[in-house]
Amino acid sequence: MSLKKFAVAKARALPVIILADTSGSMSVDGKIANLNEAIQDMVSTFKQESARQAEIQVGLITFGGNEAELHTPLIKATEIESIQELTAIGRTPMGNAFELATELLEDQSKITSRDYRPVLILLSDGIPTDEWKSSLETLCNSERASKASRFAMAIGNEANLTVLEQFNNDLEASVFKANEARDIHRFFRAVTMSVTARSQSQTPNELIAIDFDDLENGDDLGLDLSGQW
Amino acid sequence: MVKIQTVKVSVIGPGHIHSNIPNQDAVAISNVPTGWIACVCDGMGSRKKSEIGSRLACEAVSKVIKKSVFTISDKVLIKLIYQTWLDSLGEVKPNDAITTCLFAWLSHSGEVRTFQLGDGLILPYLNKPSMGINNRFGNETTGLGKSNKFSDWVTNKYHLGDDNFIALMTDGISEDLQSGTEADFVREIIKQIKAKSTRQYKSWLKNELRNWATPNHTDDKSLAILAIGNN
Repeated sequence: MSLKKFAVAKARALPVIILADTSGSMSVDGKIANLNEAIQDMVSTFKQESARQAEIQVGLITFGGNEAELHTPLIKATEIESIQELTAIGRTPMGNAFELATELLEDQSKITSRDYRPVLILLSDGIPTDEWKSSLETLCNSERASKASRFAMAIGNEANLTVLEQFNNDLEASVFKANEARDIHRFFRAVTMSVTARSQSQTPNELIAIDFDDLENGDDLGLDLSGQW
Repeated sequence: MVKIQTVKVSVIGPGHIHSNIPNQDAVAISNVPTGWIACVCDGMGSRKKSEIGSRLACEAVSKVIKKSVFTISDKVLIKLIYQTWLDSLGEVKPNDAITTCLFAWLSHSGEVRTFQLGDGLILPYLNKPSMGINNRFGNETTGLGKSNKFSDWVTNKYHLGDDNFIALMTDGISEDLQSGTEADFVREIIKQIKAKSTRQYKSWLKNELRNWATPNHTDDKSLAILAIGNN
């Protein structure tokens, strides 16, 4: 008799979800072409790295025109043949993209509790044209969605840094500013390296900072850990 | 007085073999004046002395409970164990030895108290298994050396009758078990114990855990079971 039938026959996933601005302004200066190439490069790297500790999954949400769209559902990087090219058109419904991301992150059938902490990547060259504040607030306060690592890239000078800074929760890496189209590649290379390093580490989730000062009344065990750190 | 069968096993994960680091889990089953203790601890992978932290945590649990009455309060017991663990670290910093700590304390009359800090699973099988809701992501954990909050501990009390058991496992096993099959998994192990000699079942169980069916599994895997009567 074997115990094999009790074990899940699926590797733990490390989900990477890209929120890509595909509004009209991305069509100039080769920005959308560079973004397409950068995403293809990233997926291609993930395909090579996905065989070890964690199985990297990629999802793509685009926001351009009237509403955001789940362009590519969360799928194993190794199973992606190619990502359909993005085209840039219309307005910037970023708030709607936050809603789709929250929905995806909260869906336990898509991202299970045994999967690793997801990565969200937001990139935009513009200003949201919809109600983004409440959508971002919902994302940041949702039980599971709030735990994702969030990176942001501002493309060009027109991007609304306030939004991107509020989105970004990586204390060690502020919003990446892409002044030239080729910077998009640099950003994606950095994120790719970070994700692949996590996927190969013994602890694919980063540790949460410890705040011993943040203790509830009566909850403190009163032990002195600080003197021994 | 209840009769019990015990199982304890710990195998190093492929990820640790690959990285040439030791098994960071520890597992223990001890007789104490008030009954028995089962304990599993999972040293946090990123910490350089976590294998020491997990081993000392098992020892601290045993050391404190051997001197305690079964009615000791949860908070006092946890504080005593935590302090014993801190004292035993010597030159090792708590932050370098972070470990989960899961233990079950079974009395001679079948009462069991359970304590859990951090990831892993304590599975009581009474007449039917029960599972909690998990809204977290894998490897998102706390432990001795990291938490200083009583509220981070989950404590429970049960009464184990005939054919009941309490099983404790590190997340290297619990996170990869198909939801709803956890109790059957433990029952299958208990069944095998009866059919094999001690040496045979230990060898069989280690082999099963080393050849785990989940692709890309990396973690160390540890399990302790206290089973009552004829399971």
